[in-house]
Amino acid sequence: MYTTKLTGRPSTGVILLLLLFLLGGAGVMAQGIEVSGTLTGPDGSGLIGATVLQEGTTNGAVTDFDGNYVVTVDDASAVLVFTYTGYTTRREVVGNRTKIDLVLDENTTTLDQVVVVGYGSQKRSDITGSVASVDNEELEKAIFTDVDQLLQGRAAGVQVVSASGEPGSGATIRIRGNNSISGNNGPLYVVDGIPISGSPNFNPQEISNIEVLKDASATAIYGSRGANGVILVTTKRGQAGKTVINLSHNTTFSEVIKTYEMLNGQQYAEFRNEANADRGFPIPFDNPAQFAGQGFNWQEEILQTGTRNESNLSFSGGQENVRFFVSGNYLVDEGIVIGSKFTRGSVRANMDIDALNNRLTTKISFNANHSKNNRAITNTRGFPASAGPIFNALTSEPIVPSLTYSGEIGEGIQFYNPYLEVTKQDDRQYLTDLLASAELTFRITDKLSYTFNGGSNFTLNNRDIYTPSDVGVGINANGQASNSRGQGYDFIVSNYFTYDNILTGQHNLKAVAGLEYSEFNNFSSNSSTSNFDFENLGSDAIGIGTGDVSVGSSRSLAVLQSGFLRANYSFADRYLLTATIRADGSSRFAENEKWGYFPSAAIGWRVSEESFLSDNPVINNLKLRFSIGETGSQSIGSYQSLARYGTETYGVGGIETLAFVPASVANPNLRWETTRQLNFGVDLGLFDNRLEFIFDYFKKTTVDLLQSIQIPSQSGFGGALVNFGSIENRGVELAVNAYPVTGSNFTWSTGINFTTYKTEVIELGGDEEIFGPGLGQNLFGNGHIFRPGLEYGVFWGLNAIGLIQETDFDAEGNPTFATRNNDTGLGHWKFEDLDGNGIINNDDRTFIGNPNPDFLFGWNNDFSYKNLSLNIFIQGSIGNDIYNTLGTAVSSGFQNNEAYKNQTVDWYENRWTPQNPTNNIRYPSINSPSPPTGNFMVEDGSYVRLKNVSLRYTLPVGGDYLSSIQFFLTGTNLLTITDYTGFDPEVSSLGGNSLAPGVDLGTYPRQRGYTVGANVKF
Amino acid sequence: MYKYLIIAALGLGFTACESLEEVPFSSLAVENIYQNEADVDAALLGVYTAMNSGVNDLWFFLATSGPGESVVVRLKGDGNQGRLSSLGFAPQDAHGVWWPTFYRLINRANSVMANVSRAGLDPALEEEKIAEARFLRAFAYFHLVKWFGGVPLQLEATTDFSDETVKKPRATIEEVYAVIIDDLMYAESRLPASWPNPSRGRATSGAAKGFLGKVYLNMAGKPLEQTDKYDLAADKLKEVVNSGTYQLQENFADVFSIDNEFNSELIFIRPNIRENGAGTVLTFFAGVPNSPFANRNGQYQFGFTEDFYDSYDTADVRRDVTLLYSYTDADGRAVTYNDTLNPPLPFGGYNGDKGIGFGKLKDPFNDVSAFAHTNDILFMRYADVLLMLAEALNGAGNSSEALTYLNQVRQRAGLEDITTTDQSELLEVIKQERKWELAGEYQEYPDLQRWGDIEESLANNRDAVIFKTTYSPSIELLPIPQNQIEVNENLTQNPGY
Repeated sequence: MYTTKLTGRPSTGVILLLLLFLLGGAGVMAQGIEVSGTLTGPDGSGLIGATVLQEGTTNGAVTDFDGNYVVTVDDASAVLVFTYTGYTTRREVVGNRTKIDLVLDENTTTLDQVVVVGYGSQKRSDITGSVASVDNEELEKAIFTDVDQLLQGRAAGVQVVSASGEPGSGATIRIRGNNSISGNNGPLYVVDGIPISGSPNFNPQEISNIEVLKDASATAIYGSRGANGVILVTTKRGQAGKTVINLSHNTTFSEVIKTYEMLNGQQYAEFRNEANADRGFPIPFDNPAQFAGQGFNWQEEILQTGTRNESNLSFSGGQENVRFFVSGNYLVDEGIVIGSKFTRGSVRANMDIDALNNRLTTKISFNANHSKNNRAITNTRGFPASAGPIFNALTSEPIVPSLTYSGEIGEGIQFYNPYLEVTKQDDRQYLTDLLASAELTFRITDKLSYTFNGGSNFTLNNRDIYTPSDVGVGINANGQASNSRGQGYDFIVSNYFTYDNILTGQHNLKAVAGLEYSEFNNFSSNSSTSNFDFENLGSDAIGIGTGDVSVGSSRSLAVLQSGFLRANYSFADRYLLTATIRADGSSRFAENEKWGYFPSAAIGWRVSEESFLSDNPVINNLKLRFSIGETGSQSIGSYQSLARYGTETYGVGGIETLAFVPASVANPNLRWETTRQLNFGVDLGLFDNRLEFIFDYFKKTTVDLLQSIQIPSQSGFGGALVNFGSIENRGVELAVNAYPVTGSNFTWSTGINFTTYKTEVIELGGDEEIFGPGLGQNLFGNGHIFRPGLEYGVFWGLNAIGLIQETDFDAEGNPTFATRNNDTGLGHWKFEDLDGNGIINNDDRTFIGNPNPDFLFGWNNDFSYKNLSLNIFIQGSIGNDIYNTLGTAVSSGFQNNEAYKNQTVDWYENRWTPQNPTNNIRYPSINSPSPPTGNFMVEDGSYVRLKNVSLRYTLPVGGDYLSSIQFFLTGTNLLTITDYTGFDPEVSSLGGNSLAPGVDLGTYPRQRGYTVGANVKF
Repeated sequence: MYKYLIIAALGLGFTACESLEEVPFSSLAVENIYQNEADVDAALLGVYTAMNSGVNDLWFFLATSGPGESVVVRLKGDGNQGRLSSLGFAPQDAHGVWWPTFYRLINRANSVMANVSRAGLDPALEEEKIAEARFLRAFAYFHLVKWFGGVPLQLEATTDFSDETVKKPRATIEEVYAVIIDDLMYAESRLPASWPNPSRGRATSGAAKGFLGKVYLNMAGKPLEQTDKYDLAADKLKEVVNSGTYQLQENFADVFSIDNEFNSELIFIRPNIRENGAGTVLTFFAGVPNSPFANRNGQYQFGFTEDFYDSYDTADVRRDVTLLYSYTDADGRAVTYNDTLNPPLPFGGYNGDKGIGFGKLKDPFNDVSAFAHTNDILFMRYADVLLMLAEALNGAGNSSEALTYLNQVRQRAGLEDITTTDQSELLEVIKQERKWELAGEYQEYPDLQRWGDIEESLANNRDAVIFKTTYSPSIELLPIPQNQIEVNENLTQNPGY
């Protein structure tokens, strides 16, 4: 029947999509009884565009702008089905009625949930891609400062590693692993329809829900920015009705999770005496016993109890045509390292206006936030002046004259005082972020609407640093100051048409077609100088410094022009088809490669809608999904494809004179990284969805990797940005949601998500391998390798097989093992000689660890008993290794450039000595050589963490003004089960660099927090 | 009506569009420069600036003077300094930073040659510009061939990164020298004899002739031992002498004084100024602590042996200019190098070998940034030319004529004339004279190479003794940097590394 009705009308494909704007006519009607009515939501407002369909036929209507409909049915036995996305579907027998008014309830079950997708929304049941949703109820149970941190353990396929425990620090997010070696692996954030650069800076409490788009079917609509997944953030909006005022406050006290036990004063003196005696040098401390009970424990000196206070006030409400949500938030987070403090104010004003008889809807979203971050740790990694207070707190000599001492110690070593570093170094980062957007949707006809979405994001990022003359790098410089100013201005304009036709019987078609223009402007300037004879004003009066002045500025512009199409077609609610394509033209790419095209296609089969399963008592939902498509990554800086010249100066004639120097070679073929992804998914709901499974298998292949490769220097250049090589990512995700107890007093709901994936380097365009960067502190060489056939960024270094023992020499005293740098010192590392040439060198490096976890999981539990609720959230990462470079630096007794570092008690007590000839590579003898990158640095970083425990009690208040009061107690990071010996296994010191995963250089330690708070609702 | 609204909205979105063509705001393109002579000069200065590279000055010193017998490093730990000074060279060591530095210079020179015609200069002027670029290219190849042996020849500006362009294999030592000679011969006849004041420090015909002489002298010595080149060297160096452009400074200390920059003894230098990035950090690394001669935190990373101090004639004025055996520190205290007032290394550790501080690099501005010392890097000065000329004449069998030039240097030092005309005896005298005259001036290791004296030198090299360096033919050359071997499979390492 339906096929005949379709005759003469293009039914599928792009042609229809292109023509759909021309279509607008109503469906074909039959003769019979005319029924009319109004569909409204619970708030009394008319539901626009809801469908009314006579069951078993193609006959139906769509409600108008006030929710009114008129439909003619065959006879009184006809059943009308009223459906509206996000609302409960109702079935009504017509009988003798000619007017049927209904109130549809909002539907909260997962299947009918509305899921925001790019440039529109869909019912979850209609989705063919892989989309994970996290709503604010889940988010409100824990304490977050940054949007980045929200998703940790909350969604399958999403790995979140927060860089450190520093207040206001961000996190590294990977959706389905890394796609790129040198490019960006971070997802695209889209806030209320506006893609932003970087991650949101506003208060997470402004968020209503988050959708994580994972497979190509979901992300391809974002084309050249979709390859790393897309995180759609929807902020809270007002509802018509009574104005709701929400006031909340919480206070957190936090403490360091773990510290290192370092040598105390006397032990240190003994250690140094022994070290010098071992080398035949004079003894530095005549009487170590005099230091008994003395010496500074620098960790204690720089750590404190952290205090975090957060207050939040929001108003929301409005009338039928004008609704608002306004909130303000103020946060002061004083961290556990003295001197670290993050302060942020965030204001949001969201407004919805419906006009022209509801034909025009307007959504205005505005956020302004400003933060000031007093940084205690400047993240440079030079040793020793700028290693930072954490590294220095561990390595610094405990015996110095006073807490604020900054002079020479022992044999003329400059002492870098970690206490002065945290108390006197002034490092302030100011971030101002304005994000505003206006989305106008105009309903041209019942089926066709036009949307204009314009947004702008303005950011100011300023950092002022003053290092006084008795701290770190300031000592040599006699005070050093720098000011840096960054300004970013992005704007984006999208125009798109949405066509939604569900009136052709069992055929449904929904399509979106649009154009988008984005512009990214960046400005930066910086200045620095040194030599401050008057220090009190620091970087606020940089002109006082009389040292060399360095100034610079830069400006860049990038442009993205795009067109996109998406069609969702479904037949009989059972067979689903989604196709998308986006074309992106980016200024960042080379002359020959300005435009990229990113298609995707997906099919879905809702097996549970088939007759053979429709009445199944166990299975109430079963959907199979399959998708395939291509997305891109364009995250390189502007102008990288051009041959550019820079300027330098030369002192010709004794005068600083401008010089031009070639800075890069043109690459006319620089282009997108392309990620091809296929996804197979199964959604299963059992026992009326009390038990849900969402399973996905994915395989991603990224080709044309953007690589900043090392070019042989004989070219005159060190490196170049090129496209070569590919990597492959495949994995499995499983989310299980269960509602085991749903009694009226007691409920228990639980959700587990599980992610495992493997990222393999497939080829590197002829190069045998790429090595990661140096591991830092000027101590360690590189330690990561990217080589075809190996997993992503595995650890590569020498394999110590034991320590050199007295028995390792033959009768002539020659070593019976392969030596490195001719080192035959007893108790030093003995390495595996892989090439058997008797010499240990870089050719003997091998696989020594893997920073990629075997699997990640998150397990969330919600219990409620009457007015009491308890959330327990456990999260973990299993099977990943960590380079504990900090640990090695403080537990191997080595000397480097003749400087000694304080060492751990554990090493000192267990180290190799003639009396304790251990063969444990973690305990080499005193004066062991400066460590090469080796297996003794590698530790198992697996952990299971009780991330969040939150107990809430809601006081039942039934007053006219006060509607509820909730008190809560929350514990964060209460328990961590791990074998890792460093501060914390969740660490990513070089987090910004994809080439160096899993390195611990002594970042800001993570804390355990205890929060008490209250929410009051009026 | 709505239709118009939509069209208006669409228009609003797109009228403000920028194009996808990129025009960088903060960097230049080849089209913007090479418009006139001033642009070409700026591009030529860009060739020179390749040599300005911060800490690399230390590695330049340690790779050239460091392996000499007289230099000791004070960091005896497991590091680059100790290995370079003791000739225990390793492929990953820091001398390798000069491989990219020299090739950066070479590419910039090639790029000037490729683009100079855009400026439409007068043909003779254009040739002069090319000559300057070719001189600099030869200067870089000469260092490369001395340090590493035969190296890849890059003679065109790099415009792509194809394997053919960037993975050239090594040429032979002879082939590299052929390019150097060709470049220098082109340059010597086209470069000006001197530059007016604001351009002093740029290449001159005298510098081209001086380096050509130096190249011939080195070809005459080991490893090529093309002894016929002694005559060519002598002829070319005589041209420098006879030009009358250069004189020895009367007072030896004046050669190095920052108050006497661009003096008439200097033939080719890297002028340094009191600016970060355009000065040298070498003075800071050489500077004794609490120093009146360098940034007060002078690191004193290297010094000279007491044996070397003792080798000087007490009448030799060069001794106390070159070596800070005793000096007055910034607080006005009299310090003898090995007493307790001469504090230990700022990095701490053992201080058995303090080494005698280096006196040729003195910058009384001891509050400047460590990287902004103004002492010029002297690549060639007239005394070097005189001593090379003496060596070349002696090598060519003309020992008596050699004495004329040798004794000019000795007279200035306050020493008596040498009279021997025994060729091998005179060679030893010339060698010793070079060690005294040019100590710490980047000549020691290249000289030892040419003379074939490396094996013999180990016994007199304090650091080589401490580090127990044993001779192997491999240490006649520095190893090619490991990171270059790793990225260019056509690049073979020197034997023994």
